Amino acid sequence: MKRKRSGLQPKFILLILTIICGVFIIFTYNSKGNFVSPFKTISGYTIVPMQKGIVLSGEWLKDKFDFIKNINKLKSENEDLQTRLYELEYENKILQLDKFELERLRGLFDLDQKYPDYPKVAARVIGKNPGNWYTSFTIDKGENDGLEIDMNVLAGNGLVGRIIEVGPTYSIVLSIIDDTSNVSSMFLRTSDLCIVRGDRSLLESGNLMVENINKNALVNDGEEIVTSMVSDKYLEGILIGYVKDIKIDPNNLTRSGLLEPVVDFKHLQEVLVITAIKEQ
Amino acid sequence: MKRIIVLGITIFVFYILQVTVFNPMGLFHISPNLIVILVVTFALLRGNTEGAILGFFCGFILDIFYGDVVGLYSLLYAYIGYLCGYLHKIFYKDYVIIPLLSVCVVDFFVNFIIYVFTFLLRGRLEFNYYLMKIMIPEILYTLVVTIILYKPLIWLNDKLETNHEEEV
Repeated sequence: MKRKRSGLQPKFILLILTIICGVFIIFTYNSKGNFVSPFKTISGYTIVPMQKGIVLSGEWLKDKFDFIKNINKLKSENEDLQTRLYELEYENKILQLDKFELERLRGLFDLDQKYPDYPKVAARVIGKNPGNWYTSFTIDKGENDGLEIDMNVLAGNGLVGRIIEVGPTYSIVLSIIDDTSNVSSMFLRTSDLCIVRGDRSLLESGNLMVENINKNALVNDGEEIVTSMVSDKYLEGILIGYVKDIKIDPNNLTRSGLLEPVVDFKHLQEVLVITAIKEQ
Repeated sequence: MKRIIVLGITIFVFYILQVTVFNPMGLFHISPNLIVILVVTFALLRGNTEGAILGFFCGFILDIFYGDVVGLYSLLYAYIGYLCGYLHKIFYKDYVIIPLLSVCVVDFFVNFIIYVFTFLLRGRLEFNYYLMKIMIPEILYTLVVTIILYKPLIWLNDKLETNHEEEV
């Protein structure tokens, strides 16, 4: 039945396709959301489950291989971890004592808890951006699980990124290592503001850029960087990573450095989505 | 009708493989471009009309999930399918060199367009870095995958064509 239609000139078909694309681009230039929502619903129930299946079976296979490969390594690691556990338990006790004291003092000062425990939902990574230029990825929870655009995504205790698109059963997360990502952040110790920017050319070393550090800020290499209170997308006080190689910029007004993220972006499998949105 | 369904399923399979198995965060941070392989091979086998239509739908899936606007990748891949279709006349199935060369040129073209429109315009000027670290590794990786996938795709096309003749 294709043959019969090929009476149409190829040029004509190309022209039609070009016009369709042009119309699409014009309609979706400002907001992609409304236009694609029917397609999202369809694909959400067809493509996404398949993706999930492949990822799950891949992980299962990898697990089995790793298990056989690493059994010796695991034993020695287990011993190490056991000793470390004792140390940490001891430290934890001390910290808990401190925490009780802190709570008591806070109560005295009548302060709200500064960094409240945000409600979180766990999700699995089921797909990465095709192509090598961007590092956004798909997770297997969406609107049906109560996710919304601009919710923050964590892995372990570090920031991964934020949701930029939601479908019924999936959402797309823009990671902070993406070239288009900028996070307003600050030094935990001194509250000096800075910008954490993803850079494609730093991706291989796994680092990010830290920019716009005040020239006179009293900060050193190795300090913790967290999301700032002035950021309009990211909740305050989420750990991003540790700064290093701070150098003065050519403009002699600001400094910039590299940031080593706490999240291992190369082996991202499960993430936590904070289901609270920063109030403007 | 059968043709359209089979091609539709092929597009889905390629897309799913692209985002799951061949993901960019794995080995070398580089993934092959399976969509280019699919569009180029089918355009060579079937001519400009089907090349353009197949390219359009491949691009459309990418647009819906990961594009900033809908229509950009659709347009790009539709033109690629259309242009590669011109080689249909001089193309001979057992010569692997034509598909390999086309994939090489097309993949470079796609990456170059992405670089110019989404990186260069934001002031990322280090073209050499992106060429050496992204474009050339991707092209090489894609070529290797093309050699593996070429025979199955030819087989699929032959199967569809024999079916078509039986229907007529």
